[in-house]
Order: sequence, then C-alpha cells, then structure tokens
Amino acid sequence: MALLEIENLTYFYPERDIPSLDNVNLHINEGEFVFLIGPSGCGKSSLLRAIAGLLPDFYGGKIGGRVSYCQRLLTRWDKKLLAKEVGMIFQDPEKQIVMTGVEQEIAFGLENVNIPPQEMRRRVAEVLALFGLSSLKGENTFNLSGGQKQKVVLASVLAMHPRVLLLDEPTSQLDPLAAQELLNYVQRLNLEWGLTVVLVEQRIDRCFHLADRVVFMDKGRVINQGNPREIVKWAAKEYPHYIPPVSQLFAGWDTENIPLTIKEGRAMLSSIKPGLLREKDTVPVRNQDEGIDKLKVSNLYASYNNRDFILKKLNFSLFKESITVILGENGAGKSTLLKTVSGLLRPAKGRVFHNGKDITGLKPEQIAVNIGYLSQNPNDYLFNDTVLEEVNFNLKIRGRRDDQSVDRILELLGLADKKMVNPRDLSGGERQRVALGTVLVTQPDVLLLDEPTRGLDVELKHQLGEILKVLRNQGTSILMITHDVEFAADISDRVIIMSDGEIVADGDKRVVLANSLYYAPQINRLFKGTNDRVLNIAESLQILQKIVAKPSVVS
Amino acid sequence: MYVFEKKDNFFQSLHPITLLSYLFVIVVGTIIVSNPIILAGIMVTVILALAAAQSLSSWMRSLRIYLYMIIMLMIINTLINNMGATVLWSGPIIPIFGRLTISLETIAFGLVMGLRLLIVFSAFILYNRVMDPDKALSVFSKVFPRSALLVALTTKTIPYMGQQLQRVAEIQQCRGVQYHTGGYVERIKNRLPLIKALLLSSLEDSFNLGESIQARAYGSGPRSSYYTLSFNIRDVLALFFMVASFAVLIWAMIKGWAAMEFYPELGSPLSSSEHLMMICVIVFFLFIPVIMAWGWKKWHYLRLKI
Amino acid sequence: MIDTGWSLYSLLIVTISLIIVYLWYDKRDVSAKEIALIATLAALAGLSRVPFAGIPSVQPTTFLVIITGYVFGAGPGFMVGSLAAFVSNLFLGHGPWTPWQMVGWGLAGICGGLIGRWKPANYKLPLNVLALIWGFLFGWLLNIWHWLTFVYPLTLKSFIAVQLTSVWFDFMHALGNVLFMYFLGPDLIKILNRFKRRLTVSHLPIQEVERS
Ligand SMILES: Nc1ncnc2c1ncn2[C@@H]1O[C@H](COP(=O)(O)OP(=O)(O)OP(=O)(O)O)[C@@H](O)[C@H]1O
Ligand SMILES: Nc1ncnc2c1ncn2[C@@H]1O[C@H](COP(=O)(O)OP(=O)(O)OP(=O)(O)O)[C@@H](O)[C@H]1O
Ligand SMILES: [Mg+2]
Ligand SMILES: [Mg+2]
Repeated sequence: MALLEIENLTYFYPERDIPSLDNVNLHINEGEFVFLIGPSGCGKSSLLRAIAGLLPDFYGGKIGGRVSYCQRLLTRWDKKLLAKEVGMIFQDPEKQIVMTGVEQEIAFGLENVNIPPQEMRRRVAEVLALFGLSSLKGENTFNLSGGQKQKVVLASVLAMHPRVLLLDEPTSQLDPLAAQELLNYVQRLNLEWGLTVVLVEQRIDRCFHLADRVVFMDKGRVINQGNPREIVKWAAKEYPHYIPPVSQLFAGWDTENIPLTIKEGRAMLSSIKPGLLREKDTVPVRNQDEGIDKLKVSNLYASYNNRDFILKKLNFSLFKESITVILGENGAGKSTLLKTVSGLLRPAKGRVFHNGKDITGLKPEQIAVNIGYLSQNPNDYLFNDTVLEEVNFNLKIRGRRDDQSVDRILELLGLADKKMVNPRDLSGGERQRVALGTVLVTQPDVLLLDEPTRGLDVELKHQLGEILKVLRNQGTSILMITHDVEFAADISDRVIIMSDGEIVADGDKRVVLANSLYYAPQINRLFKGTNDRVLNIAESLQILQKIVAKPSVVS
Repeated sequence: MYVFEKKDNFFQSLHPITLLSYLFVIVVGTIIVSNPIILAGIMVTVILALAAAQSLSSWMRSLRIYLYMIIMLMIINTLINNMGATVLWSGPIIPIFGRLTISLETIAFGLVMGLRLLIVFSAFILYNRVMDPDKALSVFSKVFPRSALLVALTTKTIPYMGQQLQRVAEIQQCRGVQYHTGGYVERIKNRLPLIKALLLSSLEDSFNLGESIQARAYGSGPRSSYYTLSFNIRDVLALFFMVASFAVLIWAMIKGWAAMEFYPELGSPLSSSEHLMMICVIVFFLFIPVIMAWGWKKWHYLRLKI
Repeated sequence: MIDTGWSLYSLLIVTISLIIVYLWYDKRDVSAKEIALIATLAALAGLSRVPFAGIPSVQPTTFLVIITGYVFGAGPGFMVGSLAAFVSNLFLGHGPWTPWQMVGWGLAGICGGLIGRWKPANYKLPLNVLALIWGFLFGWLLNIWHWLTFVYPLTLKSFIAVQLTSVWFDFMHALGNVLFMYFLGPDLIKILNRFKRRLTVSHLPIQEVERS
C-alpha cells in the first residue's frame, strides 16, 4: 500500500469558481522521490498544501475527494501527529521563519509537539551539525544569507523527524551553487534516510534525474506521471520546455533514448560519432565592444556602513541596444551595484556616467527618468487600486500625462485586459510585469532589472525574454541580474560575473559562460571539449547537423 | 533603534527573575523613599552597576533624551508649589496657577524629585542593557505560552519589516516621491503610500507566516520550552541581599527614617547615628550585586563557583 | 511627608489589568492565522514609528491601532496596541512608561472596536474624532504616573502644569492622527476589510464537493 493516497481530490479556494485542484489522483510510496512540475498556477503548491493537511483547515474553501496518509484519512489525523510526520518547506525562507534566533527557530516545531528539553537539545544539535550550521546557532536569523536561511528552514523541519518532506520551490532565491548544495542535501536525505520527498522546482535540469517519478500537472489536473524517462519521452512532444535542455536537444534527434543528464548526453554524442568530443570546432564570437556607451561606471566603490566595501573598484560600460546579464553568488553585491547606479546608495568613490554625463550625485528620482530600476520584489511597488493607476503613478507624481504611451506599455506587457484590476489580485508573473510597467512609463533608455525571473515558470520567462528583446530593439540597454543561467545564456548579449564585490569576468556571453564551473549552461557542458561556444539548443542542433546527417526517425 | 547586545558580564549571566527583582527593588525603593541620602546611595549603586554592565557610555547617551522630562519636572515642582517657608523669589500671578514663587524648600524638593526620576530612568537603562529579551521571554512563556509566542513573532517580524520598509521607500523615491521637500502636511502626505504598500505586503506575508506556524504543529496542546534557565548560586545570593535591603528599607519607613520633611521647612536628612547606620546597610545590601560583578570579572575561580 | 502610595497603586492597577487581559487571551484558542495577523499588525504599528521619526510626535501607531480595532474588533485591537508598545520598546528602550503605553494603545484599539461594533452610517467622522481625542488622551495617560510619583501636592493645578509640559507634543500627535485618519483611513480600512474577508470566509464549514 502506498504511504500517501490521493483520490479524486478537488479543491476550490474561497470565493473562487475554478477548481485549483481538479480530480487529482496520486499515490506516493514510502521512500519515493517525486518531482512535481507544471506551468505556473497549475496547482502544485495547492497539492502540497493538501498533503500537508493545510488546505481545508487553513484556507477554508470547498474540498472533495480524499487524502489519506498511512491508510488513514487526513481529516482523522491528529494535526500534531501529522505535522510531525509530514514536514513542509515553503518558497520564501524569510516569510516562514518564526523566531529571532537560529536555535529557537529549529526548536520551534519541537516545542509545539511538546518534546522534552533534553531530547530537543539533542535533535537541535544533530540537525545543526548535519547542515553545517553549528557555528551559526547563536546568530540572529535576520543576519543570515539567503542560502543559510534556507538551510535553517530545512533543518527546522527535519528536526521533527518527518517521514515525508514537501518542498515548494526551495531554491528560487539561491545562486546556482547554493541551490545545488541544497538539492544535494535533499537527495542525500532521500537516499540515506529513506525520506519520502515531494519536490516542486523550476530548475528542471537539476532535478529531473534525481526523481524516481515525475508528476506533471496542468490546470489543476495531473496530466501524466511516470519515471523520468517515460515523462521525458511524453513531454518532449507535449510540453517541450519542461524537460532538461539536454533532453530537449536529443528529443529532436532520437525519440527513443532521450538522455537526462550531461553524462548520458555525452555518451550519446560519442556513440553517434566516436571521437566527436575531441574535435575542435568554434562558433565565431561576435565583436561586441563596438557599441556606444550608454552607461559607464568607473572605479566604483560602495559601502553601507563606510567600513566594509560591498563593491570594490568596478569598471564596466553598457552599450546601446544590448542586454547584459550579471551573475554571481548570493551576497556578491549585485543588488548593491544596481542600487548604486540608480542613486539609492551613494558611491563611496567612483563615478557613473549616463550618455557621457556625470550622474553620480543626482537624486534617485532624477536618475529614474533615464535609468529605470526594477527591484527584486515586485510587491514593493503595488499599492494603487488598479493596474492603470499603478503604472500612471510615476507620471502623475511628476505632473505629467501620457495616456498613449501608458496604453502602449500595457499592450507590450500583455496587461491591456487587466487595466482595471487591483494589482494585488494578480499572479506573481503579472505583478512582475506591472512593476516593470511602472518603470517603463518614463521611457528610460537604460533598464536595471534585479532578478526579474524569480518565481517565473518557463513559459513566463520566455514571455519576459521576448518583452526584453523588443525593448532592446527599441534602443534600450538592459542590465539584468539573474540566477538563471539558461535564461542568461538565452537572451543576453554580454555577461558579467561578480564575486565578493568585484567583477571577475566581463565579456561576450560565449566567452564568459563557456567553461565556467558554475555558470555554464547545460548545453555548453554537453559540448565541452569540442565546441566551447555553443550555448543553446538551436545552435547545437546546427552543429550536430553539420557533423552527422540527421537520422530519419525525427518527425 | 538599538538591539540587545550580548556581553560577557555578571549581570547578563543572572536569571531574568533576579534581574527583574533588582529593577523592582530599585524602582519601588526610589518611589517610596524621599530621603536624599538614601537616594544618592541608590544613584551611585545604579551608576556603578551600569559600569559593571559595560553600559556607562550608552547610559550617558540615552540620558539626553530624558533630560527634558527631568528638567520640566524640577521646574514644575519649584514653581507651582508655594508651601515653602523660605521664599526666595515671588513672581507674577498667573491664571489658574496663582502666584509663582520660588522657595528654598521647593528648590530642594525639585532637586530630590529630579534625582528620583534620574534613578528610575537609569535603572531602566540598566535593565534594557542586561536583560536578554529571549531569556525574559522564556520565563514569560511559562505563564503566558501563547502571548509569549506572539511577542516572539512580533519581535522577529520588526527587523524584516524594517528592511521591507526601506525597500519600499527606496522604490518610491525612484518613482518620484519626494520625502524631504515641501511643508509639514506635504511631507506627511508623501509618506502615506509607504504605509499603504507596507500594510498590503505584510498582510500577504502574514498568511505565509501563519501557514508556516500551522505546518509546524502550532496550537495542538501543551508546548514545551527549549530554553531551560537555571537558578545559580549567584542568583540566590543576589536575591537574598535584595530582599534584605528591601526589608530594611521597609523597616526604615516604618520608623520614619526613609522620608524627609520638606514643607513648610526643610527637615534634616539625618536624625541619629543609628539612622546613618541603617542607610548604610540598605545601600550596602543593594550594592552587593555590583561587588559580585566586580569579583566575577576579577577571579575566574569565583566565576566557576557561583 | 509625601505620599507616593498613589503612584504604586496606579502602577499596580495597570500591571494587574494587563496581566488579566493577557491571561484571558492565553486561555482562548487562537488560530495560527490570527496569531500571525496580530503579530504582523503589531509589528507594523510598532515599526511605523520609524519613518516619521523626523516629524516630532507624529506617528501612525495610534491610528493603525484604532483602525485595527475598528475592523477586527476590540480584542485584536487591544492586543495589537499593547504588543506594539511592548515590542517596539524592546528596540527603543523600556521604561516606566511601558505599561502605560501598553494600556494606552490597547484602549485605543478597544475604542476602535467599539465604533466598529456600533457601525455608524458614516464611520469617518467618529473615527476622526476618536483619533483626535486619543492624541491627547495618550499623552495624558503617560503623564499621570509622573504626576503621581514626582509632583507634590497632587492638585488640579499641578496636574494641569504637568500636562502643559507635553501639550505641544500631544497636539502634534493628535493632529498627525487626524491627518492619517483623514487621508489614509478609508483606504486602509478597505484593505483590512478585504483581508478580513479572506480570513473569515475560510472559517466557513468545509463543504464536500458533489461528485458526479
Ligand atoms: N490563497 C489563495 N486564494 C485563492 N486562490 C488561490 C490561493 N492560492 C492559489 N490560488 C489559486 O489557485 C491556483 C493554483 O495555485 P498554486 O499556487 O497552487 O499554483 P502553483 O502551481 O504553485 O503556481 P506557481 O508555480 O506560480 O507557484 C491559481 O489559479 C491561484 O490563483
Ligand atoms: N541595506 C543593507 N545594509 C547593510 N548591508 C547590506 C544591505 N543590503 C545588503 N547588504 C550586504 O551587502 C552584501 C551584498 O548584498 P546584495 O544584496 O548586493 O547581494 P546580491 O548579490 O544581490 O545577493 P542575492 O543574490 O542574494 O540577491 C551582503 O553581504 C549584504 O549582507
Ligand atoms: Mg507555487
Ligand atoms: Mg540581490
């Protein structure tokens, strides 16, 4: 018998007439690693909530069908015992931390289930050691980095010794390295502790092969499920963007044995043509450095407290009609750089030029007219009653009015039909676009975007990419921070890598991303040794076709 | 804004109950006593305790904020009252208040009241610097488990929300809102969207917080407590002398030695050598924790023992 | 001999009434949602003292507490007010004023709750009046203990004198309250109500969806 059985589960949130879960059937066995994917808003989070027993209890609404754990209906379970058995981790670590101190945070759940202090002490010490957090136990959670916070959250759930771990996009805030580390922990827990894991994650390439079973959802329904190989074969036709890039590449090549990992992919390349991986071939690099400087940063230093420099000796320029992406670990100073350029933080030293004009000391509202800055969190923008007012606000406060361009921007962002909706009623992706809209109305010719891809699914990311390309072609130069390497490889012209407040690499994306240890996209790693410059699927297909004739099996 | 700083000193190592009792004895003692010699003794004790708690400089800094209040009270006491016999200055008649006068007695009384308020403020500054809010909360949670959780949640939320507030403010600045120009009403009006945006975001976040609490088994019966604070010898010693000091103080009150006559004419703060003895005993007992703090710093051996 | 009995009694009364309220609250079965909401609003009310620090005595705390009471009722109003006072003093410094502030803001929340209960046709006017009154009342309440403890004799004259020392600040406080209530009140009440609906709808009994 399965550990978790979900039968005909249908669920409506209060005041909603479309079901968020629609007749879901799912059995999960003890010790299984289930990877749950699907487009944004398809009900992944809702399903996890249902399994954790939060759905009818916490949200109300209407529910039908049954969820049982260990052959007993969730409604019959004592909530305290259930919470001990099923641990859930939510998307945003900051919002689920309850206590001030790291130790207290981890002990919080244990206190709730009335574990005696002696036992509590042991468990807290154990999970702290497991995640290498022992040295931080006296810290204030507020002072931890994103990755550390996420680990504390994971530790605080594991301290309760759950049998099932539900993870809702646990790595969305993390840099590629920290994300990988967290996923490794999850995999280890599954392999070594036999923990049952249900994972929702947007980083498909890093999770697909970890799972025993992939469950694909859309519009509240489970559309397909099976082991990763079966799903990859199916999804390659139906939802080609929801499989790892390596699989996407070979899916157009050989539909029978689609590789899931780089290792398999490379083996396959070698089998197609032995010795291929040792042949050198290169895609020519376009010469980028010939644009006009839109924005120039020279010798920039910045600090929040006049003691520790967060930014050290930064020099770079943005060219006209280009998209530049900044990559770098959490806390590298990426956001700080954008804040400094947009005038929110006064540089300790150095200058910023816009179109050759020194704008270093100007007020943020003056700079904002030419240099649009979109911060990390779209929610910080939304306080007006309708989308239209929200977007208009920037003009109104400057005493300007330009209904035409507002309409044009809403059209561009695909928000024309949402004009009169309260922005707080929109989904995450739509909020992101409204926030972007507020920045665009003053028609800046430089755009600074801080992690605009956060929490977006593949589809939405693609849409955003298209919008950015339109803007670029209209003459805007864009500087964007992201942790999403594949997205960066896809849309950027140039890539800057920051580490510990310094720029450690800056140049054409092909030069910078290729062969980078952490930031190389999957396709690039696949072709390592033969062609260091390929970054995306279209290019690599071309290369492959040059070398070997395409087999006729491809439809 | 200030955040509690952990430091390695005797006072911070005491049990929250001991610290609360110390505060209680000092504040209540100060309120019921009007004898300037006892008050001066208490003042000196508090200052030395502040020094032992490595907080003398922050005491000086904080005092500036309270100075207005202390001075105003001294002035009121000096001007309003005209019961003093030795009139030094007789001022104009003011409606409601009658004639303003200054007499020797009212000056003395004003000074003593100023001293009193100074002691109360200083004692609280000491308390703020040595009482670890987490520890206080763990004691509090024995009696009020739910409310203690509420306090903990609110305390945790404030810095995060502060950060959010700063972000929202920055964004609005970029959007063209001006905070530092314009008149009084203008400036308030420009800050209003801040509150609105912050309220909207934090209400949404409160859902996540609640979910996280619920998913970690909150509200299902009795809670245990992670912090177990032990009562050490130092606590027992310190408490003993506090209680002793308070007992002697009460006795002194009954004998009439804790108060001083101000009106119509100043009495003498000291009536006999016995009186002096008693004052010394009160202040000395109160002073014992400071001595212990000093020993704690000097001798590691003592630190291990108590 | 000066009698400071009243000072002690008043402190005692305030502390004991706070303890009673908190004990009562602790015995109730509070849902996770409510606890998170109260903590969030209290943090907001406490924190909102900060952005207005540049304008003396003007802060939206009183106003936020009143509308919380108005929307969510007297109980949450009191809790939010008193918690905001207690917790913000962890950052600004505790003093003898802490229990008085807790009671002061707590009562402001209760008053808001009473108006919410009363449901006047035009809610704006009574809320504005309440905001004005509490600007002064709050200051007076805080002064009472100083008057009882440090002033002699305890006459109307001396009471008025003590209140006069802070009258300018109280006036600014009241003015700020009214400005907040006037410009921001309707909006925030709308937001809180919208949220309250989400909170309370979910308390409806769970309905089974019919399966065909
Ligand atoms: N608290 C809520 N109240 C009302 N509707 C909600 C609530 N949470 C989610 N929904 C709706 O339920 C549907 C499913 O949402 P859910 O959050 O489960 O999707 P998801 O797959 O997790 O999406 P994402 O990838 O964006 O996180 C969406 O249409 C969403 O608008
Ligand atoms: N307002 C602030 N005050 C003080 N220090 C700050 C502030 N904001 C950021 N820092 C510090 O500056 C450093 C760089 O932070 P920043 O936010 O720029 O990093 P980041 O590269 O954007 O990271 P992430 O990928 O997590 O967004 C960090 O060590 C951080 O702790
Ligand atoms: Mg989700
Ligand atoms: Mg950042």
